[in-house]
Amino acid sequence: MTPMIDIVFLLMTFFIMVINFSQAESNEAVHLPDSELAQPPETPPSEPMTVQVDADENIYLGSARCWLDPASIQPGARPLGEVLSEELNMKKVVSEIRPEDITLIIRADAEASVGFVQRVIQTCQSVGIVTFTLRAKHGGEGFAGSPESEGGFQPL
Amino acid sequence: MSLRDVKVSPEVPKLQMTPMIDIVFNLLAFFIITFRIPAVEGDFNIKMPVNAPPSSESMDETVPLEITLRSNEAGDLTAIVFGQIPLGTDMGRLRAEVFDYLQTGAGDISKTEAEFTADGDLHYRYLIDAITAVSGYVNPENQVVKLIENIKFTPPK
Repeated sequence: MTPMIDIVFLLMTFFIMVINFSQAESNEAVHLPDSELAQPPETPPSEPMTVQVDADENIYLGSARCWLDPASIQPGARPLGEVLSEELNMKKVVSEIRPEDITLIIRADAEASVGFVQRVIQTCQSVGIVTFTLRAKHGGEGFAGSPESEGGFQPL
Repeated sequence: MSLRDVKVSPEVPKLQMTPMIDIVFNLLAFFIITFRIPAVEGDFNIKMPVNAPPSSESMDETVPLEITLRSNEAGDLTAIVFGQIPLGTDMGRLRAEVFDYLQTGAGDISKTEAEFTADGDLHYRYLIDAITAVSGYVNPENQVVKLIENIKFTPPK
């Protein structure tokens, strides 16, 4: 019995150690586009905020479900601009963080439309956010290839 | 016979292992079921200042490279135009054009800005492919070579 319990406890320890809580912010419905250049940033943004857009163009800000068009109102969803303003006001009051300090991370589904993502960015701009990053998944089926000929790239 | 002489064997309490093992196995099952190898994710920074003037009117010394992405109604890429040069739908050609532009010394990397104009219906993955194509590449030594890092979008119409 003892060896089996030892192994089970070792397995438990392994899974507890590798559990990644940073993935908690990712939405299962969002399938990020692939890119060979997508690497985790060397210095993570100091004040990140994540907006997620799924393939059906539903918007999520944290746990809040949001809408962009009055035509696409869904039960339980609120206007994105309103939710953003509330979040920013809370950050300003609690930690004196201004909208300009925020880095808005956009996790949009590969099948979402560019126009919709741009309108999300515009809405975020309207509340004062100026720094944006587009998130992608490393590798996969994204475009890849090197244009290098012999000697490599040497900008003049 | 006195009571002192009665030998009472000390009763060793028996440890109940079964409930603990049950719980441990439940925890283990939970971790195995919820375990996912986390995908590596990365970011592309984009410049989107509020009320920024169009590139042609800006006073800074940035050199805009205009890249237009056209799509059909289904959201598939139908054309890439680099400046005035049509490139079909080949991202490799877009990367080669940017590479040649920088290689010939016509543009300073730090002052060059890629300005994307995309049709609204275009699937987002094509935009990320195009940003990947102009941002850099992985050379045969598996090192990332950066091309243009300043990325900008023209506002949607």
